[in-house]
Amino acid sequence: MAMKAIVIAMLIGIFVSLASAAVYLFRERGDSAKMAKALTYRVGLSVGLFLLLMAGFYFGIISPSGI
Amino acid sequence: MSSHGSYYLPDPSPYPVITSAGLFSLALGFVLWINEVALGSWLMLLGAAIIIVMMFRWFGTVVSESEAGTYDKQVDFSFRWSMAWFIFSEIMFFGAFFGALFYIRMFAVPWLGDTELLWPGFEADWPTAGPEGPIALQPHEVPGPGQFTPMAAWGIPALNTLILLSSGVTITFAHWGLLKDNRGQLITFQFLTIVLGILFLVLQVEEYVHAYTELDLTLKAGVYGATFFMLTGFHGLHVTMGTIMLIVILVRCMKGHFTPQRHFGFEAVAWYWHFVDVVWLLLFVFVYWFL
Repeated sequence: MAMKAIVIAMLIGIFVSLASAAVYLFRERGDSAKMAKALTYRVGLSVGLFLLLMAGFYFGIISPSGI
Repeated sequence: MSSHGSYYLPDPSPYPVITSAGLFSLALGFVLWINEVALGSWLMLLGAAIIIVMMFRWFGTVVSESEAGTYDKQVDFSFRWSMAWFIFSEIMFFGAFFGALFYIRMFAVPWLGDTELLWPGFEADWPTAGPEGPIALQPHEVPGPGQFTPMAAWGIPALNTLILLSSGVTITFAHWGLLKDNRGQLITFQFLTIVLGILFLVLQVEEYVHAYTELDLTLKAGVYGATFFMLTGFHGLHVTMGTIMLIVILVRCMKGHFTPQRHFGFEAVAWYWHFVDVVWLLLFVFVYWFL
């Protein structure tokens, strides 16, 4: 259950960073560096989530279909 | 081209109507093809050819207008808002399919299992093809007649997740390369992103062949098969579109287009790629991992 909560929290973090990058994209003057920074957070969180799932699987904490 | 005040108005263009005709020919050809009408495949080829030619012509026009400095702040603003609505439509599109998956898993299937009167003996466990569909086995079991094996998360799906996430990293390096005016970094990492995108698609085809030939997991495998192929198939279509967009941007980068200050085309495509990457992550977690 705790694992499920961590996965959901990381997914929310990914959504927020992707959405904030979109907001910078839509702005009339286009805030390039801020957008790139938000997307960098997005990538970092996604890689973190994937590594977490793989590590959980490797150490037997979680299994596919049974988080 | 003509302009009235500060509002840019392009000349009337035949591209939209010809592209529409190409799309119609592609769709009609597809319908005829699945109904085994011989003309179908030729119509599909014609439609695809029209669309490809139009893409070259239309993109070429827009790129040359942009490079000629035709576009002012008003056009830039309209591009950004067009992208916003496009993104909105994409979110609604995938929202509908994920919504269908969640509704089926959380409501529809449990309801079918709730009553012994309607479907006696039906166990409402996911994955299922429904009460009358083939029986779902555990991952890695070999299916017999009237059975199918769901796709396991470990294997190609996990590898594809790694590949697509890596492409998210490479496009981020390309993005920072552009912002720091490092053309070598930009082009190298943009190229790597495309390679990873194509690799993902090749493996996705491999996964589908495995599903159809060894797992009996097809579009006919009830509600699991339908949601699996609709979600992963449309995602694959988006990766294909994203890869084409990345290639167009790479060619533009190699031609010296974009500056650290002005590069909306790159930003829009980079964001789109990140979006496709996040959709895949959701597919991996909810379709493959949770099963």
